[in-house]
Amino acid sequence: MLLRIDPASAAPLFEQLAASVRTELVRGGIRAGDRLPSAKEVAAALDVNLHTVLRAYQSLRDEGVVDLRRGRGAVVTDRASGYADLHREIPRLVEHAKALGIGPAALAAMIKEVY
Amino acid sequence: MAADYSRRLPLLAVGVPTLIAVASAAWLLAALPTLPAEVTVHWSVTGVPDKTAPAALALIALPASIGFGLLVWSVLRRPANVRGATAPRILTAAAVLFATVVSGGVTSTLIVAARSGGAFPWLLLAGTFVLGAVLGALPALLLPAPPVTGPRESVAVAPLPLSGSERVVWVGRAAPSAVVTGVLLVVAGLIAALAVLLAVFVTPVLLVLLIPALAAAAGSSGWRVRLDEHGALIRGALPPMVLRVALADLAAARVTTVAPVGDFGGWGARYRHGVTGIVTRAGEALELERTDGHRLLVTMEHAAEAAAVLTALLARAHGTVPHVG
Repeated sequence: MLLRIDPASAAPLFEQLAASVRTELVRGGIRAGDRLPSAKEVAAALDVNLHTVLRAYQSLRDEGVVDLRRGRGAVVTDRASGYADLHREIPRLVEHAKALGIGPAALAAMIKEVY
Repeated sequence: MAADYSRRLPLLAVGVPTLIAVASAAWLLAALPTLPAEVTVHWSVTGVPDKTAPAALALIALPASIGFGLLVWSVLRRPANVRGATAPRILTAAAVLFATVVSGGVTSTLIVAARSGGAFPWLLLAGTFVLGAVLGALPALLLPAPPVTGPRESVAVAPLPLSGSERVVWVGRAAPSAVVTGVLLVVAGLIAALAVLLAVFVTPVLLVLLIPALAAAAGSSGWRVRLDEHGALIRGALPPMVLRVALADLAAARVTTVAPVGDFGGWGARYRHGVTGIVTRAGEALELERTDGHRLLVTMEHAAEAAAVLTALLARAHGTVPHVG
């Protein structure tokens, strides 16, 4: 699994890290039952504060994507497969929008409206 | 040629050892009525008989001989495991030699010793080794080359798109499939059990067989791979090994395809022709070339992505992409 953050970006590092895990979920780089690397390991590898990683993992737990258990680390829940399924539906939607000449911003606005 | 290989392999690796084992067992069963209830099954280092048991105990050599042949066949039958004809020929010869010595050697030693008053038949046992080597060489020569015969090829991959300030960590596992892990653990248990059983005959067999048992158990465990700004870190649980390649010592990261038996003579942590291999499965592997020319291969899924990450980190470190972070 590939985790990436960009300190030059305006978004908080913990949000970037959580987003990076989500990207891996939809891409299939992380599957249900997989264990995320320990927060200490990620912090050392990315040269960030341990609390930044823990905060990212906690936000993923609040979403229900990972289970945080003492001694077992962060384990990806079954919800992860739902993310991948959702991701597979997107190309068809984009294809349809392109055929109608609708740009990404307009499509995003249409999705927001439905919400 | 390829069809010949897959047709002849089971005949030579399993068929010939089975014939030898069955013939030895038939000889033993035929001789059983003429043998005493208990025969000498163990001798001291100086050749003095020191243990007796029912001669029928030697029948355990039958499943052992056939089992080893089946193991050799199951490894060699997958074209992805082999490259070139040498390793398959050596292993097929080993299966025949093993059957000759374990089935034929044990059976004839017990029968001849019982008939000659208990003296250890040194010449006879040496003779079975010679016979085994000759019998092994013949089928090995009859085995054609497997489908893949060319050398292993390494392929460079495009770097992962990476901005100057971005930090990345790639984490993966180099592990055998769950099925292979299960099979290896069962094999380790069987070899250990066989070692204990055979130790009744020859004590050193226990030690000799515990090595493959441990090797099989070790092969079932996985390795963790971590790639980041600092370089590559590969950690194994069994054996507890840590391999580290600092980014500064890395010349290139590529993708290659490993045939475990053909390239390294088997699975596990291996070294051959200046290349270290962490081999848990056949197929795609990450190849790390150090600046001193030494190469390290790690078989794993998503090896291309791992190589792309390291290639990007290398390019950035060497200034191919400006580092502004």
